[in-house]
Amino acid sequence: MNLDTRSIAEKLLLRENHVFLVLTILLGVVGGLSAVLFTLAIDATRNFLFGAAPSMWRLLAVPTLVSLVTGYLLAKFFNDARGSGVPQTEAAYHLHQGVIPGRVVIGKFLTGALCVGSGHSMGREGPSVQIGAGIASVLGRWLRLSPARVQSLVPIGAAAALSAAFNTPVAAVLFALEEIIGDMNAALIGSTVVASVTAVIVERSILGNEPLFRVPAYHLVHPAELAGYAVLGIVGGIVSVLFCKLLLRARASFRRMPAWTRTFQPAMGGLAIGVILVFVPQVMGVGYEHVDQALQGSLALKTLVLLCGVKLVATIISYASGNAGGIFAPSLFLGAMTGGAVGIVMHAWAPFPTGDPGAYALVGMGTLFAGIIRVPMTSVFMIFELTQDYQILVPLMVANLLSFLISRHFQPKPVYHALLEQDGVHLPGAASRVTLGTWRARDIMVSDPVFIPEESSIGAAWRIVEMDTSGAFLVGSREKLAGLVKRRDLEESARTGRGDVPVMSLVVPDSPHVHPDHSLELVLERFRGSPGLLPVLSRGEVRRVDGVITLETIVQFVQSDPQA
Amino acid sequence: MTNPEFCPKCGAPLASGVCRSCDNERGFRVVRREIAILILVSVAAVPTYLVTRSVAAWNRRTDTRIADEWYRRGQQQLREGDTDAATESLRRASVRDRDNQKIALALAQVLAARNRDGEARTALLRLSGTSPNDPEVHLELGRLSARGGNVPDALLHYHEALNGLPAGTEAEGQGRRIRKELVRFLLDHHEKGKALSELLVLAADAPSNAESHVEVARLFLEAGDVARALEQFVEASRLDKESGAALSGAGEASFLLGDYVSARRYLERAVELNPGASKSAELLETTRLIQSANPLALRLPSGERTKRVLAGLDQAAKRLDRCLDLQRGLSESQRSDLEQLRAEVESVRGARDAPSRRPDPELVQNGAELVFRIEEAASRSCGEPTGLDLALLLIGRKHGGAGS
Repeated sequence: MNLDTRSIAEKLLLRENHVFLVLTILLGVVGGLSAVLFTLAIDATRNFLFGAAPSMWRLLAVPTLVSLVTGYLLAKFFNDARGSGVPQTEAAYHLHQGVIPGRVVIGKFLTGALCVGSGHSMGREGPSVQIGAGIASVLGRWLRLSPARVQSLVPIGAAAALSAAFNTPVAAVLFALEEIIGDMNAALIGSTVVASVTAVIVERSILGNEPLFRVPAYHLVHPAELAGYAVLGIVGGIVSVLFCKLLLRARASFRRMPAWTRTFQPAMGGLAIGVILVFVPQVMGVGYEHVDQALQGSLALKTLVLLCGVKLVATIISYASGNAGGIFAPSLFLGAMTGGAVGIVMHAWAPFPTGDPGAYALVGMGTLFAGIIRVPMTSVFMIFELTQDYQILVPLMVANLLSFLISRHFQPKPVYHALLEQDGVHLPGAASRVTLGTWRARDIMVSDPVFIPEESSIGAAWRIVEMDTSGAFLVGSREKLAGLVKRRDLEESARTGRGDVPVMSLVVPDSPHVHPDHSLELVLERFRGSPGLLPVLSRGEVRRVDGVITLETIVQFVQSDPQA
Repeated sequence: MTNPEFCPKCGAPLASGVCRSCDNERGFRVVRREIAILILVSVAAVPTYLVTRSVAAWNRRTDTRIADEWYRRGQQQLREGDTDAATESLRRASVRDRDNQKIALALAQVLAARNRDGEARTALLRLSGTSPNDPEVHLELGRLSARGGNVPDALLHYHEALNGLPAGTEAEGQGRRIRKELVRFLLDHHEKGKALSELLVLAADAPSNAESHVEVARLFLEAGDVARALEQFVEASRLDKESGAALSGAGEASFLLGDYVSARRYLERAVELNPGASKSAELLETTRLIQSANPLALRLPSGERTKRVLAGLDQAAKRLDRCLDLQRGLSESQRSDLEQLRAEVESVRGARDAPSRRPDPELVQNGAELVFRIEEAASRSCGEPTGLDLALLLIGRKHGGAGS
């Protein structure tokens, strides 16, 4: 190569951060397009399947039959496309270095459009987040960016898609920071803003500037009215807790059903939804047109309460039965109905002047969002972006805070995290987010522990571990830990003639464990409560053993050269 | 055997064991690959964008078609009188096509018709935000304000509706209808002054036909401006000499103004054209009685005056007697007043019948005044008079008796 070519090559050698910058803008465009296309696909599906005035039989049949198809697709090809998409995106970010397969993107788009378009009471924002994040992940890997860069693209793609799906760029950025990353101080804020703004420009160039909701002109009628919004916060918190608990229980019930039913569970949900739609078609799909009515104060108290209750049930059925769709929009729907109902009651009975019920419906949207999704900053800014009115901030914060606190008290684990735990995925909480330079469990553990097969007898187990001086041993396999058995119990049972008894009879229930990213401080704290052996379990597959920590491994770590 | 100081691939000298040339080339390939992928994605975004826009446009057309379907359905249901179903149909239409003014206005109108004023007002205010000069929107807002008794808002919106009308004959007709509606509202809310202002404009713009002038005249009458009402009735009768409504209206207005000569002329003509017009006939009868019983009419011989005043006294005395004969309903002071008047009547009769009576030069004036006072007192105590008693009362008022 001559000197000219070499200098051109050096000049053209794009540093990774330059690629990243260009990619951020591109992701804004592509993420925005994907979200808009997804929205249009849902609308087109709904128009095609239901037409203008669907008959009773169509309302009953469409969700059932379409869910048969989506159930098959989800079970056979797109298992990762079930549910909302937000918890899966979080898991990809925190546990899989941002890897989201392209197949998931396609599957989410297809099954999400079919499920929501066929009448399931679910939202489109969650799937949009996963689609946008997935596109970002795929692009990042195509470009062979480093794993850290690919990981950082995920919240950027998610924010872009959400910004376009909901037409609130600031709230989308906050959502990515608050929910996906879990850190408001993330260094990605600049890129996320760029992508989010680009996406909303693309969205508005296609769908126009018409706001998602026709928000009434709002004003606080009297300072005492804040008490009314406090009541809304309390009621909103209760409804949030009810929704989360029922959702988790219903989902757990579906998961306990035999494995062969998984293909048909979405159709079971579809049939139930079809029955509901025959009587209350207003809970079909996203339902933003009815949110609009609540914001205009067009709905009577009975209608608001009915729609709130039925929507809650319908969303739980749709989600728990394994269909593809989110709970973002249903949260807003429930919030608008709850707020409208509280507003009517306040208007009629409060001893102080109150505003229109529509104003309460608006604040209610943020309140339920804060209580269910558990993102207080995002919920405040989302409603502010919809109204562009500073007057709403104080009542919104009052109501959101109360709802958030009540929800956190009675449902400590946020719903997205709880849903992941049902799938055997443990996301890191705030306590386990460690700063650079801190030793972690993965630095101390040994990766080749001895396993006692689950089907062994006590005698056989004792023969395996007799020469090992550890205080406890693992029972099961690397892929599936069954539990721990104490050396003392094993020895005593073997020596007292119980050698033929299955070793599982000695397994210690609920023994402590750690995950690879846990800090040394947490490891030592949990080790104190262990029988002398602390399993290190994978976050992505909570029964999989990555390693073990024993007293010997701790001593070895202490005596070793940390730099090595 | 390869020389460790030179690259085995390209033969270039090695620097610290690394071939710079191969590294740059590899880097160049990576750079080319990155550039290629970015360019590919950027280029692919363009048709994707265009396809998305097409899909969005197609969706909008589908939504518009469905909205039209629901709108037609709503209109049909309205014609059949099923406002509940119509509301739901129009709501579904407006959900599908939020920007459609026709649908939004129809929904607001049906909400207003169902007395859901709050929702209708919200919908209309929203419409007025996007179409600030739309007369239909302001008219509906005016009607809502009128229904709520909010006079200032109703005036504002009705005027905005009138100002928003385009030029043209059809719009002029619509404008007149709107203004008449406004006048009706103002009169119903006892805002006669404001109603008169509107009526003046209405009168100036009235088309050249008798019906329009008659309509305006009736409104003037209701607003209390009898003189202008008469002008309009006269104009109407000039435009249509056979218009019974114009003639009877002119007769009524003239009657109210005390011009009984003109009133009789108009009313005779009206009754002649429409013998079944009972009100005109009644008024005509009263007018005739007034003219025949008025002792203070111009150019009457003195004998006739005296005859009339004495006949009036007799009639008033009978009225007085009937009134005093009522056992209940009269207070002590009323009875006392009426008996005082009875005594006065006796006194006048006594003076008239006395053998040594000298002609009373004040008989006509005093007699007429006494008749008026009797009829007024009887009217207050024993109800409105009819027939000749009414005529005597009106004669008294016309000639400056205590006001009506």
